[in-house]
Amino acid sequence: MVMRALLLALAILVVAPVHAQDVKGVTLDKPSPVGDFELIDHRGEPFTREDLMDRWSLVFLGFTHCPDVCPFTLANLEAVRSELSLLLPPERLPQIVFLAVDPDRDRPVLADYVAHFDLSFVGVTGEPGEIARFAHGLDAYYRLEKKSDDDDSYDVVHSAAVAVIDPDGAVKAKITPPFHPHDTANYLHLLLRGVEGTN
Amino acid sequence: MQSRKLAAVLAVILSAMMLLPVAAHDHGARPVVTAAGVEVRQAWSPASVPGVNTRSVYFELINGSAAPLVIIGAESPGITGVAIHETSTAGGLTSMATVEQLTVPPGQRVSFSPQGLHLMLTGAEHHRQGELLPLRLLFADGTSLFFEAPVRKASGQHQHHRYDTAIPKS
Repeated sequence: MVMRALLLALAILVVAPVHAQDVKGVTLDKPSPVGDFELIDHRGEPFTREDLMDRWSLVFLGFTHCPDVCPFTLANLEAVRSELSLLLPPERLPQIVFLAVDPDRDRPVLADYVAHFDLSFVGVTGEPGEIARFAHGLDAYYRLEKKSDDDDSYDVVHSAAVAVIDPDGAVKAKITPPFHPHDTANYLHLLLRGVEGTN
Repeated sequence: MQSRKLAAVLAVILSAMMLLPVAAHDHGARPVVTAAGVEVRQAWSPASVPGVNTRSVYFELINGSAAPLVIIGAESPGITGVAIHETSTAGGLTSMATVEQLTVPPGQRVSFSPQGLHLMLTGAEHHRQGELLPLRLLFADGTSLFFEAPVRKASGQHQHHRYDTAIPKS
């Protein structure tokens, strides 16, 4: 676990900066594989590392009761995907995955929640330990700030970045808000085509 | 055209009638009138989904008065909790903190905008797009200001003119 964090830290040290205008984040020279995990998607189907293979994915970690950051990030990701659809055929568009880290409150509303942003979005959640495994694989962090058993309006501190997962199931890049849809789509378009560093 | 005007007038009258009970109810507690020049603009609240009882409200508060304006809270009928929150992102982590009070100096404005300051509503019923969410800002001098926030879908930044509202401050 420590070794993995060290390796990822080293990978980030040697990353190429993201060059597309107005896109903040890092591209990893050596993609960091996401380990195994077993979660459930918003339709009740299993969602594992296999579901990240053979396609690009954008994974954002948050919680459904997040009133501010999560809705805007998801709305922006929908806008990015919409921009990207002008550049790529539908089958090559990245899947957008929302990792809901607050299962008690997320599970009952997850299907409606992701559909609210885009019908193509995939919401995933599950057992806390499995959520933690996926989050760890993304090099992401979260912490539920629940103060008592009957506290139902608690905040969840979480990573702001969106992980870009390559078709081998490895983190290729992390991009951070604000997500300017046009520039982010251009950046992702270049990344998906294996061309980096120019806009 | 004529009928549209009539409809608009009727709409105004009807919405005024609908608001009266709320305003009348609050009269006894706090004076409705705030100092001249204090106003809320561009209020709105992102639509949410059934079952999610937290909501945020965004607006711009202008203090056109000659005195500092100290916001100490807000309330909304039927909603259990309304607090001033500020989202911050530091070290790649995003979190929210409660703001106990906020002072707007004379002649200044404060923007409650996505991924920054917002009113955080908890225990809220589901509000459909197009509904108006009634709110009252409470000030330290005992006055308050009623306003309504239309509920609409949070938009991505498709259009350049939306950047002002959709891009976080940081």
